Amino acid sequence: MKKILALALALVLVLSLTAGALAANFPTKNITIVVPYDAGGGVDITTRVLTEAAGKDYFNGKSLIVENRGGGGAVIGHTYVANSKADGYTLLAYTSAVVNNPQLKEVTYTHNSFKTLGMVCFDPEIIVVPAASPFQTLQDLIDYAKENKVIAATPGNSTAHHIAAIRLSNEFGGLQFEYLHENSAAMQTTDLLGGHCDVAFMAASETFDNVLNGSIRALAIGSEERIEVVPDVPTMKECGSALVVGAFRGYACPAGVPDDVYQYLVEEFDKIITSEKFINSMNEKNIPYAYMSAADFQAYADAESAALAEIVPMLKGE
Amino acid sequence: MFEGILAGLGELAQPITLIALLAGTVLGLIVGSLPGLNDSITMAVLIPVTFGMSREMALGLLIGIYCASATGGSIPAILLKIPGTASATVTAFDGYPLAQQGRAGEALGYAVSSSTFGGIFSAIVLLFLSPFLAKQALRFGPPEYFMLAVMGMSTVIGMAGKNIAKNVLSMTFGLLISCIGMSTQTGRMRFIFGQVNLMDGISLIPMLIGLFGITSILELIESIKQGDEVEMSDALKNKTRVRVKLPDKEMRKRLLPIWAQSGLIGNIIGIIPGAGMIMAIFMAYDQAQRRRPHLKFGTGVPEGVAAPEAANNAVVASSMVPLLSLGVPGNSTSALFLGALTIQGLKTGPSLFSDTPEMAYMIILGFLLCNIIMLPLAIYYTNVLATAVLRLKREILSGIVLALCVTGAFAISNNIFNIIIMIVFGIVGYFFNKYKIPQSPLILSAILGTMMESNFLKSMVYEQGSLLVFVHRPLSLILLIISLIFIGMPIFKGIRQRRAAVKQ
Repeated sequence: MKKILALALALVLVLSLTAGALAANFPTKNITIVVPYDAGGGVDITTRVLTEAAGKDYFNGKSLIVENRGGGGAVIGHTYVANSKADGYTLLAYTSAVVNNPQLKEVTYTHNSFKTLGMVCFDPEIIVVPAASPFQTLQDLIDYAKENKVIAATPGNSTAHHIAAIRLSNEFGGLQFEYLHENSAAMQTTDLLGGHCDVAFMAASETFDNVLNGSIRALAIGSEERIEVVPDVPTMKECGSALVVGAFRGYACPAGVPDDVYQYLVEEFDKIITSEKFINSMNEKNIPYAYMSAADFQAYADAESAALAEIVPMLKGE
Repeated sequence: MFEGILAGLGELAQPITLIALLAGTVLGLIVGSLPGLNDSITMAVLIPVTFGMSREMALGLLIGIYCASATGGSIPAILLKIPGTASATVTAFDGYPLAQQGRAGEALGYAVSSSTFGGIFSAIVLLFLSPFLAKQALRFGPPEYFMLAVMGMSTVIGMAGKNIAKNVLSMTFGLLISCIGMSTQTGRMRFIFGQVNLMDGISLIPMLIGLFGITSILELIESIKQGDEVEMSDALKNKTRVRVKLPDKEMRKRLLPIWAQSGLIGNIIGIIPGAGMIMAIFMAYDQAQRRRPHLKFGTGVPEGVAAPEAANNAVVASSMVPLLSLGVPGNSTSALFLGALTIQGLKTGPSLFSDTPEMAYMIILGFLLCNIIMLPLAIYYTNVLATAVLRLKREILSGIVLALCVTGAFAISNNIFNIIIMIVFGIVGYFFNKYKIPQSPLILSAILGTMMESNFLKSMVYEQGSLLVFVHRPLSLILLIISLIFIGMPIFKGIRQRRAAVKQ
């Protein structure tokens, strides 16, 4: 009996030791966050703010390192992380592109290839028109677009903004959008200011300066509630649409990461992204901070993926 | 505005700002002169570093880098026929032949002085005409961009020289390359053969590094194998020093019209968002050729160095016009500037001037000052670097250049695939040179092809697919007429010459 007890005790001890060892053994080196865009862009800057805020205060004194792997509309970076060793040392800066790419491009991963760690930024969709436009409200635009052609600028075919426009059109029984697919927000702004398009679908933060100085007019914003920077702009919900859309930025790891390491990553990330240091730094740099826990973020991404699946036949048929 | 300028001067005159500007200028010259590194890579790497800096310091640093790298790029273009930055592509055409004739110092002098002229010219334009010009740039919609690309392509005719067939071949190859990747208008993938790395098309920088850097190394290897004496530069043989020789009074008088017209071209192209540096330098070179038809461009003509160098520095400051006045970045480098401004909590567009006039004018005056302090710095740096480079054995130098090329191609997006692109284009460039096929039409059409295609498709949205959209819009019509003149003139001249020859 004593022997058995001793054995059981030893077993428990060993088990608890290994369990403790796993958490204590991770991480033994710095953790890399792959940014699937070139350096200098919004996602890159947000991630660098995060790594700076984290410093050496988390992950047993190890640091977060940014690695840029841009190209192919983020496909190159996504593929790299999806195929990397699922040991928790390679993470991904997770954006709307993770949801969109697998359904719209020929890639070797799906959005289920990643598990989310938390969201840090939500940049709502904004529907903007030139200052001289006759459309004063979203309803004006919808009423007109039901009967007439409207030239709508997006930052590219199959981008989140193009998809938002299609979803809006579907909601109201088909709007006659003629798409002007630019390749950047900068060109969309030029089209708006020069009157080369009737309406543009953009990320809100890209339009604040021009909306505030009156050179373009915002009809509706895709956030849950009105936002502080442009309090006069109604949400799409107020305008009779059910859409809450926008570009989100968060972090994720490959789906194959062991559960205990994943739990540890989620806990540490939660601490960093809710820390005062990080939030202040995001606000200072004018990046629209928005927190979502790992679980909520996963649920949101799943819902976005399902919503997209409905309109994929339309997108590919175009 | 006057108070704004004074306030801006106040900001700029702080020692820390000046030191940052100076450091940026030196850094810009260095990264510009290293093939493979350029201003946008450097700025992207440095932006996170500027998080902790004050506004003036961060902007001073970035302005210095942006301004000076275009000048630095001309140094290897002249000495080695390898442009340090994409903006120096055209500088090699006449700069390298000059260096081969032992006139490297002279060529570098043309480059540095033309850069300074172009830079100061466009900084002054930026200072006084920014809001007005930005408004004009807004007249450019898709049909106008399409016509602008056509106008850019028309310079290929000017490059044609004797062999039109080879030019067309090179141009067609470039247009084919521009089709690779995703079409932004339709979202379809083309010619990517399941290769995710090709989704965005062939990246410009590795392609240029290959065409110039790798090609010249391959040519050197060939010359060694044949047992020929590797050509030795004067500096190596005689241990002399290379000194930048600024143009004398007579030469300045001769170059002034070229500077003015190239600066103007650079300014116009620069303020149009997305039109690009490459188009500006090719157009400036083409126009210089048309203005001085009796000179043999491509054999070491001072104008051939002056035109692109004045144009590229003019593009630099004028690309800030749409950014500062409208909040629209004109190219990828000024997009990084926008990022830096936002991080520093500054608004862009008209509110930059109304809310923070001291910062707006500090930026503009920074560009002006940077171009002024760049002259002595560039001369000193060029003297040191050129002597060192020309004293190295070409074999060793090529090894260094190869290492830089590979690093640079990789560093753009940490992607091995870019090294493959570089090598492939190195081989392409080698065979192009072997069969005396000009590379410029390839480069120009690879860039303008994309712009032409996407803007053509976009233009079709306006009038239900009618081509008349290009004639109905006045600015587009003007650009169409100018392109027709550019294309028609050499042909017309050719026919007349032939007739005259028949009569005789």
